[in-house]
Amino acid sequence: MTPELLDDGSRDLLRVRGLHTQFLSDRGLVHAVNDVSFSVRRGEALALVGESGCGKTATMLSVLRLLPRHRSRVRADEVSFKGRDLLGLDDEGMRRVRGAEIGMIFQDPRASLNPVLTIGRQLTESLEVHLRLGRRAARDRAIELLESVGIPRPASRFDDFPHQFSGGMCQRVMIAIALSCEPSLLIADEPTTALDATIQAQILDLVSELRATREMAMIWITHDLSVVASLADRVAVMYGGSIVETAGARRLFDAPAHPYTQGLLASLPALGEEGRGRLTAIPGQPPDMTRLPEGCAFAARCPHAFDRCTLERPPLLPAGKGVPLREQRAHSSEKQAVSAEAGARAACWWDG
Amino acid sequence: MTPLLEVVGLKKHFSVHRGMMQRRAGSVRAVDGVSFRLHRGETLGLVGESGCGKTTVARTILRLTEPTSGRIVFDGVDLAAVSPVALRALRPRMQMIFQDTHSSLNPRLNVGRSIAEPLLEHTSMTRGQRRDRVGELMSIVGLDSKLAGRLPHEFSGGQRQRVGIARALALKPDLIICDEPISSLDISIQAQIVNLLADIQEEFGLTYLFISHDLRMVKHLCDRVAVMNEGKIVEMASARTLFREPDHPYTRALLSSLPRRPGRS
Ligand SMILES: Nc1ncnc2c1ncn2[C@@H]1O[C@H](COP(=O)(O)OP(=O)(O)OP(=O)(O)O)[C@@H](O)[C@H]1O
Ligand SMILES: Nc1ncnc2c1ncn2[C@@H]1O[C@H](COP(=O)(O)OP(=O)(O)O)[C@@H](O)[C@H]1O
Ligand code: SF4
Ligand SMILES: [Mg+2]
Ligand SMILES: [Mg+2]
Repeated sequence: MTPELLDDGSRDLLRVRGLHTQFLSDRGLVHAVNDVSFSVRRGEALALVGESGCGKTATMLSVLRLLPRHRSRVRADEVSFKGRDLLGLDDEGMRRVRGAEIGMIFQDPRASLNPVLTIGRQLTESLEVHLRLGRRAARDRAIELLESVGIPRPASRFDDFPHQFSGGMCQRVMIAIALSCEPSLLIADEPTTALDATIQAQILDLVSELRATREMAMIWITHDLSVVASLADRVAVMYGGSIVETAGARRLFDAPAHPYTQGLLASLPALGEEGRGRLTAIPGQPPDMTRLPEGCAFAARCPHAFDRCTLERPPLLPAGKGVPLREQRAHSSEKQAVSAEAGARAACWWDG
Repeated sequence: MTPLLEVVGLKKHFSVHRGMMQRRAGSVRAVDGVSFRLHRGETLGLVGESGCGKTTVARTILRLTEPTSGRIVFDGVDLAAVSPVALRALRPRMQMIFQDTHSSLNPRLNVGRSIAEPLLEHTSMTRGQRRDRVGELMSIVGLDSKLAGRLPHEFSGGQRQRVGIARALALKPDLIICDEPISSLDISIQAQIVNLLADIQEEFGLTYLFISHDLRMVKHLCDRVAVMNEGKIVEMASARTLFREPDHPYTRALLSSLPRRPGRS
């Protein structure tokens, strides 16, 4: 599928460059996002993976401008959506983008539903406002949506309140609300983690169908590699507040370039292998985000670390197709955004 | 040889109340006729979708919940027929490791104290003996015993799970029920904990009931696997057979969603 050009002549629906986010906390300054750049094209599915605390949620909340202003500092060279500068929008303009053009599913489903409004009302409200449907039509559409996310007998659950739904059901309602306004970009933060396998498969099918029929793009934040494999076109791996590798989903699984990604994939038990043996675990723990090292954040756990790693933070540069990284680096010194054309990139000094 | 654990026709029904008057509206058949045997040194995987009754099976085996009916025979002793005193004597031999490391440890107790708690309750060890045993347990699970004075919130999820494992090992159990022991842990930490579980099993001859929805880990760790659906076991086979020729549609759906082996074949 060739995406059409957008108003600004590019193919990127969302483009983020040089994003930095810090939080003020009792423990000190948390360096949650450090120089993150990426873009998403129309209809494309980007998976953002990484362990808890590595900055995934902070990245998305920064882009959506949903972080509390007095406790956080966000700066970026560029955050644009359909060629429009999101950093320059006023609050009202930003609200309109979030409601109608970018659908969001948050990590904690119960906290994001209004406890005193019925499930049905929360859905019809957004349909009436954003799609300008009448009451009747909104109700029919809402029931359809609830059915499509796997709520059994949705008409009879329409007037239930959130506390009458299980955690997994609230999650599905959130997904239905996010999809209701037919957004061109869906941002989902670990949306299926709390769901069981069959419901999860159902939701992933639904989302894939929407991508195909409506060219909906999405950013799917997850730590579940099986979700990544079945859903994403492209994957960005985060560690210590930075994107350390990005590649097509297939390529990432077949030929991971960054030692962290390699370690993650190697630590998965094999399905085909006979006999058990020990798993190849990554030793140590993720870094403290208030005290990130000056060099590579993965250095303390990396089997390939050498002196340069602790001195200088490696930038995200093209990973070779058999070409030594060093040679490629000589040709690309400037900072580039992660984009579909760019192929695989890794932030690592090691040449393999 | 008698199995270490035999569960026969286990049922647990919860009654459900609705509305202002708390009318009894029906019952949830959380566990509805579950039978299996667990042999010494064996690891049995228990898999199935959320709400199918896995945790309830675990809790009834440990008598944290009274079963509605069915028999639980531990090392030849029928737990329902035995006196409270004898049951108390059996308790230390069955332990559990939980998914949620936040709520399974008392947030106000330092971790050394948490690990020592079962020793306090079930043994007549002196303070010094307890301290030595806690140090020993911490080193078994790969924690520095100098950290014994810290509170749980000062630890990462993986470290808290190590504390939970040390605590479960304190009374030298025969059986440990692991209820989703790695699902709240980070991907890079899961393999560390799974290796630890395998190591201590070998060292202490432990028997595991391993509850998980991570089929890769189940295949890696388990000898046999039972697949549960709506309170019943719908399929039970050796891990090898189950993964080669899954019989139940649910098992097949799960297997088909797994990513290919990356890098190596
Ligand atoms: N105390 C209780 N009162 C009423 N119903 C209960 C109670 N405990 C569990 N249930 C119900 O029993 C069923 C089985 O619950 P259980 O916790 O055993 O599921 P599970 O298989 O462990 O699920 P998960 O994978 O989500 O942990 C569910 O329908 C649950 O809602
Ligand atoms: N409101 C906040 N105040 C202080 N620190 C925060 C806040 N939100 C997130 N952090 C910290 O920022 C880092 C990144 O967090 P987050 O983006 O939520 O991680 P992820 O979503 O990848 O699990 C973590 O170290 C986290 O503790
Ligand atoms: S830069 Fe160095 S420490 Fe970091 S991942 Fe590469 S080799 Fe390892
Ligand atoms: Mg998060
Ligand atoms: Mg459970």
